[in-house]
Amino acid sequence: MAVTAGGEYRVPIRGAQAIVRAEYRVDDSRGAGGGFFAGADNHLTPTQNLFVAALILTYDGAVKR
Amino acid sequence: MSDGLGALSGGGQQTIHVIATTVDGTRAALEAAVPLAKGAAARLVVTVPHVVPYPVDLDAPCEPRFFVRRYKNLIEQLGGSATINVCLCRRVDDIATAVGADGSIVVVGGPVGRWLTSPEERFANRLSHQGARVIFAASGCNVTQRRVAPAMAAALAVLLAVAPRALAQTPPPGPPPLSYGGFIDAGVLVAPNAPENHLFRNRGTTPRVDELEVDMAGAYLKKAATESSRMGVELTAQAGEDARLFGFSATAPNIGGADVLLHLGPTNASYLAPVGKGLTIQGGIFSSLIGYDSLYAKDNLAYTRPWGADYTPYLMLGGNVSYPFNDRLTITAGLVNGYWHLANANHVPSAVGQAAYKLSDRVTIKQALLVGPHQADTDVDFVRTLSDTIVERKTDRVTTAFEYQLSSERVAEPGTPRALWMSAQLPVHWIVSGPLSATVRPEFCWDRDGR
Repeated sequence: MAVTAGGEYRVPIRGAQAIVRAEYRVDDSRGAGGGFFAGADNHLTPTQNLFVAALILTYDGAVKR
Repeated sequence: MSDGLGALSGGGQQTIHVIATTVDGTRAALEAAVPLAKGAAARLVVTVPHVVPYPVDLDAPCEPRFFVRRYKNLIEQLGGSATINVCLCRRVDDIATAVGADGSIVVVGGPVGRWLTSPEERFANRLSHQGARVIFAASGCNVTQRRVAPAMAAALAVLLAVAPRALAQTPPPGPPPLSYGGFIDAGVLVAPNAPENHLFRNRGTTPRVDELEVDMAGAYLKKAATESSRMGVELTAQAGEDARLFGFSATAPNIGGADVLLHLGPTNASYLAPVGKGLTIQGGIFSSLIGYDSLYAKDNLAYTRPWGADYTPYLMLGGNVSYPFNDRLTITAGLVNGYWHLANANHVPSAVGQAAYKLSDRVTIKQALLVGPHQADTDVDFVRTLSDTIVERKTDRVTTAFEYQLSSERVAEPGTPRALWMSAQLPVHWIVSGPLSATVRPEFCWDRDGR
Protein backbone atom coordinates (compact mmCIF):
# COMPACT_ATOMS: atom_id res chain seq x y z
CA MET A 1 0.00 0.00 0.00
CA ALA A 2 1.10 3.54 -0.53
CA VAL A 3 -0.22 7.04 -0.12
CA THR A 4 1.23 9.99 -1.98
CA ALA A 5 0.41 13.61 -1.31
CA GLY A 6 2.00 16.59 -2.93
CA GLY A 7 1.81 20.07 -4.29
CA GLU A 8 2.79 21.56 -7.60
CA TYR A 9 3.52 25.07 -8.79
CA ARG A 10 3.81 25.92 -12.48
CA VAL A 11 5.81 28.91 -13.63
CA PRO A 12 5.68 29.97 -17.28
CA ILE A 13 9.03 31.16 -18.59
CA ARG A 14 8.46 32.62 -22.06
CA GLY A 15 7.65 29.58 -24.19
CA ALA A 16 8.85 27.19 -21.53
CA GLN A 17 7.44 26.08 -18.23
CA ALA A 18 8.96 25.18 -14.90
CA ILE A 19 7.07 22.77 -12.69
CA VAL A 20 8.10 22.60 -9.07
CA ARG A 21 6.79 19.65 -7.10
CA ALA A 22 7.02 18.72 -3.46
CA GLU A 23 5.71 15.35 -2.44
CA TYR A 24 5.42 13.06 0.53
CA ARG A 25 4.99 9.36 0.03
CA VAL A 26 4.69 6.47 2.42
CA ASP A 27 4.90 2.87 1.23
CA ASP A 28 4.08 -0.19 3.24
CA SER A 29 5.09 -3.55 1.82
CA ARG A 30 4.86 -6.77 3.78
CA GLY A 31 5.00 -10.48 3.14
CA ALA A 32 7.38 -12.59 1.08
CA GLY A 33 9.42 -10.39 -1.22
CA GLY A 34 8.17 -7.21 0.40
CA GLY A 35 10.00 -4.45 2.19
CA PHE A 36 12.37 -1.60 1.50
CA PHE A 37 16.08 -1.17 1.98
CA ALA A 38 17.23 0.59 5.12
CA GLY A 39 20.40 1.37 6.98
CA ALA A 40 24.04 0.73 6.33
CA ASP A 41 23.44 -3.00 5.91
CA ASN A 42 20.51 -2.53 3.50
CA HIS A 43 18.24 -4.67 5.62
CA LEU A 44 14.57 -4.81 4.69
CA THR A 45 11.96 -2.85 6.56
CA PRO A 46 8.21 -2.86 5.77
CA THR A 47 7.71 0.89 5.72
CA GLN A 48 9.40 3.62 3.75
CA ASN A 49 8.79 7.35 3.98
CA LEU A 50 9.93 9.56 1.14
CA PHE A 51 10.15 13.32 0.92
CA VAL A 52 10.44 14.37 -2.69
CA ALA A 53 11.47 17.66 -4.24
CA ALA A 54 11.56 17.91 -8.01
CA LEU A 55 11.98 20.44 -10.76
CA ILE A 56 10.65 19.77 -14.25
CA LEU A 57 11.44 22.05 -17.16
CA THR A 58 9.47 21.69 -20.37
CA TYR A 59 9.41 23.45 -23.67
CA ASP A 60 6.82 22.84 -26.38
CA GLY A 61 6.92 24.57 -29.72
CA ALA A 62 5.30 24.27 -33.13
CA VAL A 63 6.39 24.97 -36.67
CA LYS A 64 3.59 26.43 -38.78
CA ARG A 65 3.60 25.36 -42.38
CA MET B 1 -23.65 34.29 -43.24
CA SER B 2 -20.77 32.25 -44.56
CA ASP B 3 -19.27 28.94 -43.59
CA GLY B 4 -15.86 27.38 -43.11
CA LEU B 5 -12.51 28.46 -41.78
CA GLY B 6 -11.69 30.30 -44.95
CA ALA B 7 -14.47 32.75 -44.15
CA LEU B 8 -12.51 34.16 -41.24
CA SER B 9 -10.54 36.53 -43.37
CA GLY B 10 -11.10 40.22 -43.35
CA GLY B 11 -10.74 42.75 -46.11
CA GLY B 12 -8.44 45.75 -46.20
CA GLN B 13 -10.51 47.23 -43.40
CA GLN B 14 -9.42 46.33 -39.91
CA THR B 15 -11.34 43.37 -38.55
CA ILE B 16 -12.33 42.64 -35.00
CA HIS B 17 -13.35 39.08 -34.38
CA VAL B 18 -15.72 37.87 -31.71
CA ILE B 19 -15.61 34.15 -31.09
CA ALA B 20 -18.94 32.92 -29.81
CA THR B 21 -18.69 30.87 -26.65
CA THR B 22 -21.61 30.62 -24.27
CA VAL B 23 -24.58 32.95 -24.64
CA ASP B 24 -23.48 34.99 -21.63
CA GLY B 25 -19.88 34.97 -22.72
CA THR B 26 -20.75 36.04 -26.24
CA ARG B 27 -22.97 38.78 -24.87
CA ALA B 28 -20.06 40.10 -22.80
CA ALA B 29 -17.76 39.91 -25.80
CA LEU B 30 -20.21 41.77 -28.02
CA GLU B 31 -20.78 44.45 -25.41
CA ALA B 32 -17.07 45.12 -25.56
CA ALA B 33 -16.53 44.58 -29.27
CA VAL B 34 -19.44 46.55 -30.74
CA PRO B 35 -18.38 49.94 -29.34
CA LEU B 36 -14.79 49.06 -30.07
CA ALA B 37 -15.56 48.33 -33.72
CA LYS B 38 -17.69 51.43 -34.05
CA GLY B 39 -15.01 53.63 -32.54
CA ALA B 40 -12.31 52.21 -34.76
CA ALA B 41 -14.47 52.01 -37.87
CA ALA B 42 -13.50 48.38 -37.96
CA ARG B 43 -15.38 45.46 -39.40
CA LEU B 44 -16.93 43.19 -36.79
CA VAL B 45 -17.06 39.47 -37.48
CA VAL B 46 -18.77 37.08 -35.10
CA THR B 47 -17.56 33.53 -35.55
CA VAL B 48 -19.79 30.77 -34.26
CA PRO B 49 -17.74 27.56 -34.07
CA HIS B 50 -19.67 24.52 -35.17
CA VAL B 51 -17.74 21.31 -34.65
CA VAL B 52 -18.66 18.66 -37.19
CA PRO B 53 -17.62 15.00 -37.44
CA TYR B 54 -15.25 13.86 -40.15
CA PRO B 55 -17.91 12.46 -42.52
CA VAL B 56 -19.31 15.97 -42.92
CA ASP B 57 -17.45 18.06 -45.43
CA LEU B 58 -16.14 21.35 -44.08
CA ASP B 59 -17.58 23.10 -47.09
CA ALA B 60 -21.03 21.68 -46.50
CA PRO B 61 -23.79 24.26 -46.23
CA CYS B 62 -24.82 25.03 -42.69
CA GLU B 63 -28.29 26.11 -41.71
CA PRO B 64 -28.57 29.17 -39.49
CA ARG B 65 -29.37 28.33 -35.92
CA PHE B 66 -31.40 30.16 -33.37
CA PHE B 67 -28.35 31.53 -31.63
CA VAL B 68 -27.25 33.22 -34.82
CA ARG B 69 -30.51 35.13 -34.78
CA ARG B 70 -29.98 35.82 -31.09
CA TYR B 71 -26.55 37.29 -31.73
CA LYS B 72 -27.92 39.40 -34.58
CA ASN B 73 -30.59 40.77 -32.28
CA LEU B 74 -28.05 41.50 -29.59
CA ILE B 75 -25.76 43.30 -32.00
CA GLU B 76 -28.67 45.40 -33.22
CA GLN B 77 -29.60 46.23 -29.62
CA LEU B 78 -26.04 47.42 -29.09
CA GLY B 79 -26.32 49.61 -32.16
CA GLY B 80 -23.77 47.80 -34.22
CA SER B 81 -23.53 45.61 -37.25
CA ALA B 82 -21.57 42.47 -37.83
CA THR B 83 -21.00 39.58 -40.14
CA ILE B 84 -21.86 36.29 -38.53
CA ASN B 85 -19.92 33.22 -39.64
CA VAL B 86 -21.04 29.77 -38.64
CA CYS B 87 -17.65 28.19 -38.93
CA LEU B 88 -17.53 24.46 -39.55
CA CYS B 89 -14.45 22.93 -38.03
CA ARG B 90 -13.15 19.67 -36.68
CA ARG B 91 -12.01 21.19 -33.41
CA VAL B 92 -12.60 24.55 -31.81
CA ASP B 93 -8.83 25.02 -31.79
CA ASP B 94 -8.93 25.12 -35.60
CA ILE B 95 -10.60 28.48 -35.12
CA ALA B 96 -7.69 29.59 -32.97
CA THR B 97 -5.24 28.63 -35.70
CA ALA B 98 -7.20 30.39 -38.43
CA VAL B 99 -7.99 33.57 -36.52
CA GLY B 100 -4.64 33.81 -34.79
CA ALA B 101 -2.73 33.56 -38.04
CA ASP B 102 -3.46 37.13 -39.15
CA GLY B 103 -2.76 38.82 -35.82
CA SER B 104 -6.27 40.31 -35.65
CA ILE B 105 -7.96 41.62 -32.54
CA VAL B 106 -10.10 38.85 -31.15
CA VAL B 107 -12.63 39.32 -28.37
CA VAL B 108 -13.60 36.27 -26.34
CA GLY B 109 -16.10 36.33 -23.52
CA GLY B 110 -16.63 33.97 -20.65
CA PRO B 111 -16.58 33.52 -16.92
CA VAL B 112 -13.49 34.27 -14.91
CA GLY B 113 -12.91 32.01 -11.98
CA ARG B 114 -11.18 33.32 -8.94
CA TRP B 115 -9.09 30.22 -8.53
CA LEU B 116 -8.71 28.83 -11.99
CA THR B 117 -8.99 29.70 -15.61
CA SER B 118 -12.25 28.93 -17.34
CA PRO B 119 -12.37 27.02 -20.65
CA GLU B 120 -13.02 30.35 -22.35
CA GLU B 121 -9.93 31.86 -20.73
CA ARG B 122 -7.84 28.89 -21.79
CA PHE B 123 -9.16 29.21 -25.34
CA ALA B 124 -8.24 32.90 -25.25
CA ASN B 125 -4.75 31.94 -24.12
CA ARG B 126 -4.40 29.53 -27.02
CA LEU B 127 -5.55 32.25 -29.39
CA SER B 128 -2.93 34.52 -27.95
CA HIS B 129 -0.28 31.88 -28.49
CA GLN B 130 -1.37 31.66 -32.13
CA GLY B 131 -0.53 35.33 -32.53
CA ALA B 132 -3.94 36.97 -32.12
CA ARG B 133 -4.38 40.12 -30.05
CA VAL B 134 -6.87 38.81 -27.59
CA ILE B 135 -9.24 40.75 -25.38
CA PHE B 136 -11.06 38.72 -22.80
CA ALA B 137 -14.48 40.02 -21.75
CA ALA B 138 -15.50 38.68 -18.37
CA SER B 139 -19.02 37.48 -17.64
CA GLY B 140 -20.65 35.73 -14.75
CA CYS B 141 -20.72 36.14 -11.01
CA ASN B 142 -16.98 36.18 -10.55
CA VAL B 143 -16.47 39.30 -12.62
CA THR B 144 -14.30 41.77 -10.78
CA GLN B 145 -14.28 45.52 -11.26
CA ARG B 146 -10.79 45.28 -12.62
CA ARG B 147 -11.99 43.20 -15.51
CA VAL B 148 -15.19 44.94 -16.57
CA ALA B 149 -16.01 47.53 -19.13
CA PRO B 150 -14.27 50.76 -17.99
CA ALA B 151 -10.87 49.21 -17.61
CA MET B 152 -11.46 47.10 -20.68
CA ALA B 153 -12.44 50.08 -22.77
CA ALA B 154 -9.20 51.78 -21.81
CA ALA B 155 -7.26 48.66 -22.68
CA LEU B 156 -9.08 48.39 -25.98
CA ALA B 157 -8.27 51.97 -26.86
CA VAL B 158 -4.59 51.33 -26.23
CA LEU B 159 -4.70 48.12 -28.19
CA LEU B 160 -6.41 49.80 -31.12
CA ALA B 161 -3.80 52.49 -31.16
CA VAL B 162 -0.95 50.05 -31.40
CA ALA B 163 -2.57 47.21 -33.30
CA PRO B 164 -1.36 46.72 -36.84
CA ARG B 165 -3.93 46.46 -39.56
CA ALA B 166 -5.25 43.00 -40.16
CA LEU B 167 -3.87 41.07 -43.07
CA ALA B 168 -6.01 41.18 -46.16
CA GLN B 169 -6.38 37.43 -46.30
CA THR B 170 -6.16 34.75 -43.65
CA PRO B 171 -4.20 31.85 -45.07
CA PRO B 172 -6.32 28.73 -45.30
CA PRO B 173 -5.57 26.11 -42.69
CA GLY B 174 -2.80 23.91 -44.02
CA PRO B 175 -1.36 20.68 -42.77
CA PRO B 176 -0.99 20.51 -39.02
CA PRO B 177 2.15 22.05 -37.64
CA LEU B 178 5.09 20.05 -36.60
CA SER B 179 5.40 20.16 -32.88
CA TYR B 180 8.61 19.78 -31.02
CA GLY B 181 9.91 20.20 -27.54
CA GLY B 182 12.11 19.03 -24.79
CA PHE B 183 11.99 18.42 -21.10
CA ILE B 184 14.18 17.58 -18.18
CA ASP B 185 13.16 16.53 -14.73
CA ALA B 186 15.41 16.30 -11.73
CA GLY B 187 14.44 15.26 -8.28
CA VAL B 188 15.66 14.10 -4.94
CA LEU B 189 13.87 11.47 -2.89
CA VAL B 190 14.90 11.76 0.72
CA ALA B 191 14.43 8.48 2.58
CA PRO B 192 14.73 8.61 6.39
CA ASN B 193 15.50 4.87 6.19
CA ALA B 194 18.81 5.96 4.62
CA PRO B 195 19.65 2.76 2.72
CA GLU B 196 23.34 2.44 1.95
CA ASN B 197 22.62 1.32 -1.63
CA HIS B 198 20.40 4.35 -2.29
CA LEU B 199 17.75 2.16 -3.93
CA PHE B 200 13.99 2.47 -3.94
CA ARG B 201 13.44 -1.26 -3.99
CA ASN B 202 11.65 -2.91 -6.93
CA ARG B 203 11.11 0.32 -8.81
CA GLY B 204 11.34 0.93 -12.55
CA THR B 205 11.13 4.71 -12.22
CA THR B 206 12.59 7.09 -9.61
CA PRO B 207 14.73 4.14 -8.52
CA ARG B 208 17.28 6.03 -6.42
CA VAL B 209 16.91 7.79 -3.09
CA ASP B 210 19.03 10.26 -1.17
CA GLU B 211 20.64 11.50 -4.37
CA LEU B 212 19.83 14.35 -6.69
CA GLU B 213 19.15 12.65 -10.00
CA VAL B 214 18.11 13.63 -13.47
CA ASP B 215 15.33 11.11 -13.68
CA MET B 216 14.37 11.88 -17.25
CA ALA B 217 15.41 14.19 -20.05
CA GLY B 218 14.00 14.02 -23.51
CA ALA B 219 13.32 15.73 -26.79
CA TYR B 220 10.59 15.05 -29.28
CA LEU B 221 9.40 15.90 -32.76
CA LYS B 222 5.86 15.07 -33.71
CA LYS B 223 3.56 15.43 -36.66
CA ALA B 224 0.08 14.05 -36.27
CA ALA B 225 -1.63 12.13 -39.04
CA THR B 226 -4.64 14.16 -40.14
CA GLU B 227 -7.11 14.31 -42.95
CA SER B 228 -5.12 16.99 -44.74
CA SER B 229 -1.76 15.30 -44.20
CA ARG B 230 -2.26 11.62 -43.63
CA MET B 231 1.25 10.55 -42.69
CA GLY B 232 2.31 11.11 -39.13
CA VAL B 233 5.55 10.64 -37.32
CA GLU B 234 6.72 10.78 -33.74
CA LEU B 235 10.34 10.76 -32.65
CA THR B 236 11.41 10.85 -29.00
CA ALA B 237 14.88 10.55 -27.54
CA GLN B 238 15.31 10.14 -23.81
CA ALA B 239 17.89 9.53 -21.11
CA GLY B 240 18.05 9.50 -17.35
CA GLU B 241 17.52 7.18 -14.40
CA ASP B 242 13.92 6.47 -15.40
CA ALA B 243 15.04 5.27 -18.82
CA ARG B 244 17.33 2.56 -17.50
CA LEU B 245 14.95 -0.09 -16.19
CA PHE B 246 11.32 0.51 -17.04
CA GLY B 247 11.10 -1.56 -20.25
CA PHE B 248 13.02 -4.61 -19.11
CA SER B 249 11.92 -7.86 -17.52
CA ALA B 250 13.35 -9.38 -14.37
CA THR B 251 12.84 -12.87 -15.80
CA ALA B 252 13.32 -12.59 -19.56
CA PRO B 253 16.38 -11.67 -21.67
CA ASN B 254 16.65 -8.37 -23.46
CA ILE B 255 15.81 -7.89 -27.12
CA GLY B 256 18.60 -7.06 -29.55
CA GLY B 257 19.57 -3.42 -29.53
CA ALA B 258 17.90 -2.83 -26.18
CA ASP B 259 20.77 -0.64 -25.05
CA VAL B 260 19.93 1.76 -27.88
CA LEU B 261 16.16 1.36 -27.81
CA LEU B 262 15.97 2.30 -24.13
CA HIS B 263 16.84 5.81 -25.26
CA LEU B 264 13.77 5.99 -27.48
CA GLY B 265 10.42 7.10 -26.16
CA PRO B 266 7.38 7.08 -28.45
CA THR B 267 8.98 6.73 -31.88
CA ASN B 268 6.65 5.62 -34.61
CA ALA B 269 5.05 6.30 -37.95
CA SER B 270 1.33 6.52 -38.50
CA TYR B 271 -1.14 6.83 -41.33
CA LEU B 272 -4.71 8.05 -41.27
CA ALA B 273 -6.45 5.86 -43.80
CA PRO B 274 -9.54 7.34 -45.51
CA VAL B 275 -11.81 4.64 -44.18
CA GLY B 276 -15.11 5.68 -42.65
CA LYS B 277 -14.39 8.18 -39.92
CA GLY B 278 -10.65 7.67 -40.30
CA LEU B 279 -8.62 4.59 -39.43
CA THR B 280 -5.26 5.36 -37.85
CA ILE B 281 -2.52 2.79 -38.39
CA GLN B 282 0.55 3.15 -36.21
CA GLY B 283 3.80 1.20 -36.02
CA GLY B 284 6.90 1.48 -33.86
CA ILE B 285 7.25 2.35 -30.21
CA PHE B 286 4.07 3.91 -28.94
CA SER B 287 2.61 4.90 -25.59
CA SER B 288 1.14 1.94 -23.78
CA LEU B 289 -2.57 1.30 -23.98
CA ILE B 290 -2.27 0.03 -20.41
CA GLY B 291 -2.13 2.38 -17.46
CA TYR B 292 -3.19 5.82 -16.31
CA ASP B 293 0.31 7.18 -15.76
CA SER B 294 2.94 8.21 -18.24
CA LEU B 295 6.61 7.36 -18.24
CA TYR B 296 7.23 11.08 -18.05
CA ALA B 297 6.61 12.80 -14.73
CA LYS B 298 5.70 16.03 -16.48
CA ASP B 299 2.51 14.40 -17.76
CA ASN B 300 1.47 12.89 -14.43
CA LEU B 301 -0.39 14.20 -11.44
CA ALA B 302 2.43 13.29 -9.06
CA TYR B 303 6.19 13.02 -9.43
CA THR B 304 6.58 9.41 -8.33
CA ARG B 305 4.51 6.79 -10.10
CA PRO B 306 2.16 4.28 -8.51
CA TRP B 307 3.20 0.65 -8.26
CA GLY B 308 0.63 -0.35 -10.84
CA ALA B 309 2.33 1.90 -13.39
CA ASP B 310 5.81 0.60 -12.72
CA TYR B 311 4.66 -3.03 -12.97
CA THR B 312 2.88 -2.57 -16.29
CA PRO B 313 4.16 -1.31 -19.67
CA TYR B 314 4.79 2.39 -20.21
CA LEU B 315 5.64 1.84 -23.87
CA MET B 316 4.82 -0.83 -26.42
CA LEU B 317 6.71 -2.03 -29.49
CA GLY B 318 4.61 -3.18 -32.42
CA GLY B 319 1.63 -1.90 -34.35
CA ASN B 320 -1.92 -0.87 -33.73
CA VAL B 321 -5.01 0.40 -35.49
CA SER B 322 -7.41 2.88 -33.95
CA TYR B 323 -10.89 3.77 -35.11
CA PRO B 324 -13.36 6.34 -33.73
CA PHE B 325 -16.77 4.74 -34.12
CA ASN B 326 -18.42 7.96 -33.03
CA ASP B 327 -17.68 11.02 -30.93
CA ARG B 328 -17.72 8.93 -27.78
CA LEU B 329 -16.21 5.54 -28.59
CA THR B 330 -12.74 4.80 -29.93
CA ILE B 331 -11.40 1.27 -30.24
CA THR B 332 -7.70 0.51 -30.55
CA ALA B 333 -6.23 -2.93 -31.18
CA GLY B 334 -2.73 -4.09 -31.90
CA LEU B 335 0.04 -6.62 -31.71
CA VAL B 336 3.13 -5.98 -29.61
CA ASN B 337 6.34 -7.89 -29.07
CA GLY B 338 5.56 -8.70 -25.46
CA TYR B 339 4.70 -7.43 -22.01
CA TRP B 340 7.94 -5.44 -21.64
CA HIS B 341 8.92 -3.86 -24.91
CA LEU B 342 12.66 -4.30 -24.33
CA ALA B 343 12.38 -7.93 -23.19
CA ASN B 344 12.37 -11.03 -25.33
CA ALA B 345 10.51 -13.62 -23.29
CA ASN B 346 9.63 -15.56 -26.46
CA HIS B 347 8.88 -15.00 -30.13
CA VAL B 348 5.11 -14.93 -29.84
CA PRO B 349 3.52 -11.49 -29.93
CA SER B 350 0.92 -10.30 -27.47
CA ALA B 351 -2.44 -8.86 -28.41
CA VAL B 352 -3.54 -5.59 -26.89
CA GLY B 353 -6.75 -3.67 -27.16
CA GLN B 354 -8.45 -0.70 -25.61
CA ALA B 355 -11.95 0.71 -25.70
CA ALA B 356 -12.19 4.36 -24.69
CA TYR B 357 -15.70 5.62 -24.10
CA LYS B 358 -16.59 9.20 -23.27
CA LEU B 359 -19.55 8.83 -20.97
CA SER B 360 -20.05 12.58 -20.73
CA ASP B 361 -18.06 15.76 -21.18
CA ARG B 362 -16.44 15.04 -17.83
CA VAL B 363 -16.27 11.29 -17.52
CA THR B 364 -14.20 8.90 -19.60
CA ILE B 365 -13.99 5.15 -19.21
CA LYS B 366 -11.16 3.07 -20.62
CA GLN B 367 -10.93 -0.68 -20.64
CA ALA B 368 -7.74 -2.30 -21.91
CA LEU B 369 -6.72 -5.90 -22.25
CA LEU B 370 -3.29 -7.41 -22.90
CA VAL B 371 -3.08 -11.11 -23.72
CA GLY B 372 0.07 -13.05 -24.56
CA PRO B 373 2.71 -15.38 -23.25
CA HIS B 374 5.40 -13.86 -21.09
CA GLN B 375 7.33 -17.04 -20.41
CA ALA B 376 9.66 -19.15 -22.52
CA ASP B 377 6.93 -21.79 -22.75
CA THR B 378 4.39 -20.24 -25.12
CA ASP B 379 1.71 -22.88 -24.66
CA VAL B 380 -1.72 -21.29 -24.47
CA ASP B 381 -2.01 -22.52 -20.88
CA PHE B 382 0.71 -20.08 -19.85
CA VAL B 383 -0.67 -16.96 -21.45
CA ARG B 384 -0.67 -13.87 -19.25
CA THR B 385 -3.83 -11.81 -19.22
CA LEU B 386 -3.92 -8.25 -17.92
CA SER B 387 -7.03 -6.16 -17.56
CA ASP B 388 -6.83 -2.43 -16.93
CA THR B 389 -9.93 -0.40 -16.09
CA ILE B 390 -9.80 3.37 -15.77
CA VAL B 391 -12.57 5.77 -14.92
CA GLU B 392 -11.63 9.44 -14.98
CA ARG B 393 -13.77 12.43 -14.08
CA LYS B 394 -12.35 15.77 -15.03
CA THR B 395 -13.73 19.19 -14.20
CA ASP B 396 -12.05 22.55 -14.47
CA ARG B 397 -10.66 22.29 -10.96
CA VAL B 398 -10.64 18.64 -9.99
CA THR B 399 -9.48 15.50 -11.72
CA THR B 400 -10.41 12.23 -10.09
CA ALA B 401 -9.50 8.84 -11.45
CA PHE B 402 -9.86 5.25 -10.41
CA GLU B 403 -7.76 2.52 -11.93
CA TYR B 404 -7.95 -1.19 -11.30
CA GLN B 405 -5.57 -3.71 -12.80
CA LEU B 406 -5.81 -7.48 -12.60
CA SER B 407 -3.32 -9.88 -14.11
CA SER B 408 -2.96 -13.62 -14.01
CA GLU B 409 -1.01 -16.44 -15.62
CA ARG B 410 -0.14 -20.05 -15.00
CA VAL B 411 3.55 -20.49 -14.28
CA ALA B 412 5.41 -23.06 -16.35
CA GLU B 413 6.85 -24.98 -13.44
CA PRO B 414 5.86 -28.19 -11.67
CA GLY B 415 2.22 -27.97 -10.61
CA THR B 416 1.64 -25.02 -12.98
CA PRO B 417 0.51 -22.75 -10.16
CA ARG B 418 -1.57 -19.70 -11.06
CA ALA B 419 0.08 -16.37 -10.33
CA LEU B 420 -2.13 -13.43 -9.51
CA TRP B 421 -1.40 -9.73 -9.37
CA MET B 422 -3.63 -6.73 -8.90
CA SER B 423 -3.37 -3.05 -8.15
CA ALA B 424 -5.60 -0.02 -7.78
CA GLN B 425 -5.15 3.68 -7.35
CA LEU B 426 -7.42 6.64 -6.69
CA PRO B 427 -5.61 9.88 -7.56
CA VAL B 428 -7.33 13.19 -6.91
CA HIS B 429 -5.83 16.34 -8.37
CA TRP B 430 -7.11 19.74 -7.31
CA ILE B 431 -6.17 23.05 -8.89
CA VAL B 432 -6.06 25.21 -5.80
CA SER B 433 -5.36 28.53 -7.45
CA GLY B 434 -4.01 29.25 -10.91
CA PRO B 435 -0.60 27.60 -11.10
CA LEU B 436 -0.88 25.95 -7.69
CA SER B 437 -2.33 22.46 -7.44
CA ALA B 438 -2.34 19.52 -5.07
CA THR B 439 -2.61 15.77 -5.49
CA VAL B 440 -3.47 12.92 -3.16
CA ARG B 441 -3.15 9.35 -4.34
CA PRO B 442 -3.92 6.29 -2.25
CA GLU B 443 -3.03 2.99 -3.89
CA PHE B 444 -2.52 -0.66 -3.27
CA CYS B 445 -0.67 -3.35 -5.12
CA TRP B 446 -0.80 -7.06 -4.39
CA ASP B 447 1.58 -9.56 -5.96
CA ARG B 448 0.31 -12.77 -4.46
CA ASP B 449 3.01 -14.94 -5.92
CA GLY B 450 5.97 -12.63 -6.19
CA ARG B 451 6.09 -12.81 -9.98
